[in-house]
Amino acid sequence: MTYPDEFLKGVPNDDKLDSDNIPTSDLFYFKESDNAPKRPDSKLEGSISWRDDLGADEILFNLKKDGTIQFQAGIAILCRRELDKVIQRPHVNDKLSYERDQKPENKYHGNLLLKSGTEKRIMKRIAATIATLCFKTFIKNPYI
Amino acid sequence: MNHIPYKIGINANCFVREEDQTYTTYGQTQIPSAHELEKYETSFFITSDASGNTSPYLRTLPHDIDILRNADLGTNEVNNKDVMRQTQKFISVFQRILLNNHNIVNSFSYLSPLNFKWLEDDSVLIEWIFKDFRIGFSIEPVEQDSSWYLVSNQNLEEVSKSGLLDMEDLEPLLVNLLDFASSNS
Repeated sequence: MTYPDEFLKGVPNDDKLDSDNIPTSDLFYFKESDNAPKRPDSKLEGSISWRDDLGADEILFNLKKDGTIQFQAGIAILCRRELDKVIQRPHVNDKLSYERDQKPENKYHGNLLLKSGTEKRIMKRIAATIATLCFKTFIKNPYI
Repeated sequence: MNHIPYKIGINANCFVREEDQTYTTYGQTQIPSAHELEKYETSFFITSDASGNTSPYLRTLPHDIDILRNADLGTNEVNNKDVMRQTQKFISVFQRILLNNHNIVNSFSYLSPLNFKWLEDDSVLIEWIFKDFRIGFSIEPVEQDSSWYLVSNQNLEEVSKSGLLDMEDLEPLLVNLLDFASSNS
């Protein structure tokens, strides 16, 4: 499986950004979803999009949930090479991975995956590490 | 010139109602001397209203150093009361540290406010975000689960530290983190 250099994270609202438009860590938190079916490997999913081309940006900007644009604030652009470095950090180790997971509405869709049973404290630190190391820039949703 | 450079109530345990206009206001450049700080710290002490509720009280540090200006103490009807109590304690200690270490605080080239965010899991996330690093505190419903972290990118040698948050002994940790932040901001 090949992956592009960059991936995207949709930002639902300004509450997920600080005053300089840098994402707060909770944008990358992993949590059990009540309605999502459990994966066979029990890993927790955090949705991302692989930026194979600029079409990935357009899809995220226009993605709708319950009839309204889901990522009202915009999208964060992140670096996959840095993500690979995060995965190699001692406190992360084998707990974090990623995959492609195409959806009918988003062919670029993928997931960050967290090993099940990871302590909440470690999960939060991993999220902070992703936000600090991988974040490159933020693009405001031009359709809002 | 005879003026009080602060609204009263700059003690670590001191909160003043924002809507109360009876106090003397301060100018942005009026950084107090250590002697002045000491005087005001010992002179004014407001901890809560008659009901013991501190939630409507806000910080009153000078704007220049008030990194706690966005502090959110939570809402009684909505948020976990234990977490609210711990958050108030955290803010109180942090205030004291800012005042006692204004030499460190004044050395910052850029001083961004801390972000406070109440999350679905009843915890509060307090983050101090800089270009190359971030410091975070997660205050949890079970006090022993509360934690902190410091992570930086490659520009600062990819520091990664974390630990449990001992609410009874916050000061050494916060002073160290403040020192790191001022040296690298």
